[in-house]
This record gives sequence, structure tokens and C-alpha cells, in this order.
Amino acid sequence: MKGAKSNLRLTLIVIILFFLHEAYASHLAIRGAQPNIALTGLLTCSLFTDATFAAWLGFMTGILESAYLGMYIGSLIVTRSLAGWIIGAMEPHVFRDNVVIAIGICFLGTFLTGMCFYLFAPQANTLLWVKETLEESIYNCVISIPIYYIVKFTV
Amino acid sequence: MLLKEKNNHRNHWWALIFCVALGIGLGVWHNHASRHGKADPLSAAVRTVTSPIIHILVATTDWMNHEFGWIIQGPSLSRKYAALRLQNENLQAQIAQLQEDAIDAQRLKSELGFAMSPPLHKIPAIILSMRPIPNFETMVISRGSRNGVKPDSVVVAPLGVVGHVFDVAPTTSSVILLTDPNSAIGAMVQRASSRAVCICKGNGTPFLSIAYLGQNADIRIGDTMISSGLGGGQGVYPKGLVIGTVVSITNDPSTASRQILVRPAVDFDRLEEVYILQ
Repeated sequence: MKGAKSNLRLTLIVIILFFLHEAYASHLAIRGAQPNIALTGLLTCSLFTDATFAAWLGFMTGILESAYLGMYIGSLIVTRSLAGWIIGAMEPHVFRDNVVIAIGICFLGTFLTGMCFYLFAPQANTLLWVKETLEESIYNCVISIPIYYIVKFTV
Repeated sequence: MLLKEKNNHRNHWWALIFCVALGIGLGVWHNHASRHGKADPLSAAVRTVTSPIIHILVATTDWMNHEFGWIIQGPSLSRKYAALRLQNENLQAQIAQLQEDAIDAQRLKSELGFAMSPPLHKIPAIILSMRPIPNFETMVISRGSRNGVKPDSVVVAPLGVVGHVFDVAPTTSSVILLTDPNSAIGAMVQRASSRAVCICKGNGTPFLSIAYLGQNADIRIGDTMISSGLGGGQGVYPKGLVIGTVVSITNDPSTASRQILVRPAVDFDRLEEVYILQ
């Protein structure tokens, strides 16, 4: 029962962060670098649940994000599901009570998700893609700190 | 205990396989629908359900910005006001001159028997989400098929072209911006002595690149580029819309060609409202 409640809270957090991302992420852009609040939410929440539920969270995030992008729907859903699942599977093996772990996971998670997306849907300019994904990863690290504490105290 | 753990492990794998298979299936379904010019029902439904909440968030922020923004921007507002007043006076004088020229041009065109194109109808729309995924130059606007928006409709702002619609849901539409690498527009130089024709292409940076420009075409830094109404990727842009200004021309000795960059007239990061041309 407790697990179900915490899963429901995690779902709500991801949905709320998705809304915040769509409405405000572009206002947070610094020199063209923009965070992905929804993805950061997914990666952080996946630290607090098992692989099965984290995959579902990723699936939901993928559907929400792809509905707004309007293209690369399959690639977005698959990469988000994979990201959630992998972090969820790591949950019993990592010390999630340390914010540094969350920051590291957000950096690696964002970068690897971006690269995985590139494999599924290659883009015209590879170098630009890598540069933008790196910038996004760094930005996501920064916003993962407040998101981590929100998730930790809510769940 | 071990058996339970093994079952859990198996369930985890099944969850992943199911999510990935369903994701691939939905992607194939979406591609099939878009290829036949139809909207993907799942994305349309998700956008229709979630967009009112984003609309409320955007509207609340705009209202707060308008009501209380002066608290933060106070000191710079009077300077901005003085500069805008001067600019407004100059623009009023220019408008009066241009109106006279337009009347003359219209009279001459009708005397020469040119077909006059009807004025385009504009549908105003609010931007719900700019760059929903950071790496893609797209945005979502608050008008959809219920308002008469169709795929490939052109989206403009007061200063120039913004992009074109590529995905339409009942209440929202996705717009691909000029700066996206998948975007291209037929362009020409707005100078009586040049009128060189080319294509302005997005490259994922804040600037546009010029392609298919003649070797000896007359183009200079500071030239204004307007849409030519000819081809250019989707070929949906009418003639005469402002695209941007040429800001850099560099010669590439290896290919004996020129690398020309255009700064879009529209500042995509400051856009609040756009118009869809019908």
C-alpha cells in the first residue's frame, strides 16, 4: 500500500514537472542552453522506485513529451522508458540518500538518453547535437538538486 | 525468497520489453498517420487534455509580468520608453511615405494589368510551449484544426516569418521554426539593384544559412532577405515576408563558395504571440 502511494506521488511529481517544463523551460535558457525539467524529474524519480515502475514513468514521460514535439514519437518513448528502467534497476545498488548521486545520475542519464535518441533518430549536425546534449546535461544537473529534495521529502 | 526475487527480476524485463514494443508501435502508427496527412490521435488527445493547464500557467505568468514586472524592471523602463518614443516618431514618418509609395505601386500594377493577390487572413495565437524538447526548434501554439489551422500554414510575427505548422490537433498546433535544420524557405534580397534568389535554411543555431545562391549574385552585409514565394523546402511561404538580415559573408577557398549567415528578424526567445496566415 505504501509502495502504491509513493508511486502515485512520483507519477504526480513527473506530471507537474512536465507542465512546468512546457510552460517555463524556454524562459530559463542561458546562452541557448535549456534544461529538460521533465527528463530531470523522470531520472530523479526513477531513483526512488523499482525498474518496472520507473519504465512506466519513462513511458508516460515519453508520451507527454512526444505529444508536444509532434515528431520522433517512438524514439522519445523508447529512450525515456529505457532511461527510467536502467535507473530503476540500479536503485537497490546505489546510495540514493546522497544528492551527489542524483546529480551524477542526472548528468549521465541526460547525456546517454540524448545519445541513445541520436542512434534511433540521427540528426543532421552530429557535433551540434553532442554540444547541445552536453549543455542540457549540465543544466539538468543544476536543477536536479531542488527536484531531488522535493522528491525525497514527498516520497 | 530467491524465487520471489527471480520473479521480480523477470517482471522488470517484461515491463521494459512491453514499454519498448508499445513505443515502437506508437511511433510507427504516428509515422503512418503523418504520411497520409492525418494527425496522430494519441498525441492530439494528450495535447488537447494537457494544453489548458499549460495555457493557465502561461497566462498567469504573463499577467504577473504585466502587473508586477515594473518592480524588477523599474529603472530601465523610462530609458526604454524614451527610446521607443523616438523610434515611434521615425516609424510614423516612414509609414506615411510607404503608404504613398504603396498607393502609387498599386495604381501602376493595375494599369499594367498585374493580378492583385488578396490580403491574407491572420489568426492570432498564444505560444504555449517554446522548444518542448531542448534540442529541437519547434513550438506549440494555442490554435488548432477547430480554428481552421491546416498543416503547412505559415506562422508569422509582426517583425517577420516564424515558421510553418507541421502537426495539427483540435485545439493546438506544432510549429517548426525557421531555425530548425529541417526548415527551409525560398528567399530573395530586398534591394532594387539585386533581387538575388536563394534558399534560407535553418541549422540549429540562432542564424540561418544561405544555400543555392548564384556565384556572382549581388548580396551584401545588411541586406534584408524576404520570402520569394518560390519553392524552398515546403514551398508554402507567400512572397514578401521579412526573413532577416545578412550579418556575415565569408569566402570558403576550399569550395570557392560563400558562407552567408542571416539573423532572423524575429527574436524567437521573446515571442509571446504569433499569427497564422490563412
